[in-house]
Amino acid sequence: MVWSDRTSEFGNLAEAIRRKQEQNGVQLSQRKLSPANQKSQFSYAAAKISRGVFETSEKLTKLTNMAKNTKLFMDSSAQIEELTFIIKQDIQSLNRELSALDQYVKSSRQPNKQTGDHSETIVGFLNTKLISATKDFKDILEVRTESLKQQQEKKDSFAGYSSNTYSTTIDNPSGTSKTEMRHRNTQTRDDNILYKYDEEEDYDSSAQEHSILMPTELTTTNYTASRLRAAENISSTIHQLEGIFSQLANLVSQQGEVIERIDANMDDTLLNIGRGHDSLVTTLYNISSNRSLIIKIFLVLIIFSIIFIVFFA
Amino acid sequence: MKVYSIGIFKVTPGGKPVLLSIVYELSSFGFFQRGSVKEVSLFVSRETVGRTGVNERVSMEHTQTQKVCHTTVDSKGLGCTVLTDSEYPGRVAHSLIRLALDEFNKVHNESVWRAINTDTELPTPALEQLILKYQNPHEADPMMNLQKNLDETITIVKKTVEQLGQRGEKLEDIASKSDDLSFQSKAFMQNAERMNKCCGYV
Repeated sequence: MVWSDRTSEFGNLAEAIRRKQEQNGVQLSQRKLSPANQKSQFSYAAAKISRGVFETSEKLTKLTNMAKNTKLFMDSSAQIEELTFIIKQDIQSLNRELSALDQYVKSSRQPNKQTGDHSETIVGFLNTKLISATKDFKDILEVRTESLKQQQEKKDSFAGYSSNTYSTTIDNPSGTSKTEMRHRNTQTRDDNILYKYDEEEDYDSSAQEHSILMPTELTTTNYTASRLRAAENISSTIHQLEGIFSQLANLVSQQGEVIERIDANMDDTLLNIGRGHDSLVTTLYNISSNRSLIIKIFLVLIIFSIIFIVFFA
Repeated sequence: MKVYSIGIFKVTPGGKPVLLSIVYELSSFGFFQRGSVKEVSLFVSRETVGRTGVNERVSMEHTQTQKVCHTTVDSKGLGCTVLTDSEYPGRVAHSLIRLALDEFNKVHNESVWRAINTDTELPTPALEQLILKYQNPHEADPMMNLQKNLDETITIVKKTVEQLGQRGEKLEDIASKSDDLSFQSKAFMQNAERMNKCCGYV
């Protein structure tokens, strides 16, 4: 709602500018490269772009409503896809036009600074509007994928539900079912059909309170496709195993290196301790023997005798 | 995951299928329910196989009781139905059907059952063996067997890798400790040698 107000404001502004130009005596239709004409061209292009953005946002709101309304029974997915496509195209073309306008504004020389600023602000404004519209579009697409996923889950959990009149399929199943099958997924049909039906049988001898043959939904299961899937599962498991084993080998080789380090360290330690032990043993031996004491005593004696002799010489 | 019955029918287009042979495995039902279950299974099998086209594989699920009926009719007019619960994988059920048809054709000649027009019971002991064997689809079907083995292997290998990681951590620990040890021993040796050198100073 704010958006539409701004549009009318902008429209008034554009009108005012045009009127001023007409007062200056320049026609809108002339394509001469005069500054006033440039301005009118610019305002014309800007007005077109703003209208385009407005329409796109309207379509976006419609798409939002449709996406939110998509329940189990109202599947307007074709419409939604169409609308998404149209909106995407619109946004792309608007982007192009806006960038062209931007180029135009930058390249053309403006008569006074104010008009230049004005055009630039308008371009920026349109740009932001376009960006917000694109963001909303993206959000809507996300919402739509979420709702699709939920739909899928609900369909898988339900036993059966009336989508089309398949009550006649019970009478001649194979013939009509093959022609009336619905592609829920992109699985190809084959000679395999999965029915889900509810019948009036006394399967466990309870009273016949359930209604008669409920029309059912048709889903396809493919025998060969399931075998293929199983085989693919097996091959992927084997690939995983291959990866895990190579990781295992890597780990083991790394640890082997670590172990070698440990081994080297232990060898060094052994060596060092051996030598230390040897030196300690020799120390002990030296200490335990009296040799040094005897040497010291003799030394002292000799020195004393020398001094004595020298003094008494 | 259980197989409840395997039935062989003679299917003629436009006519009601004629029962040729049927085996049941109803140990999960109470003793008094078995009779009615047999009747109902026979009815369901007959109806389903009657509506199956030639060389067409059908798997029909009864939503009330969560039971599925898989059927196939081959080109000779011989139909086979297998009743299972809903968890039983359809692929295995259809391979079971193939096996059952082969067994039946081995034992009973085509001329034997072509002439039959009323419900009879042609004894086929192989079918009973089959139904017992396929009570456990994981072991009976080679693909599922393989998948199961591979999954077990992967779990074990993952555990091994985890333990290997722990071993790696411990080895790192030991490596750092041995580093410290070698450093200390070197210091000790230097100390001892110094002592030995100047032991004249004691």
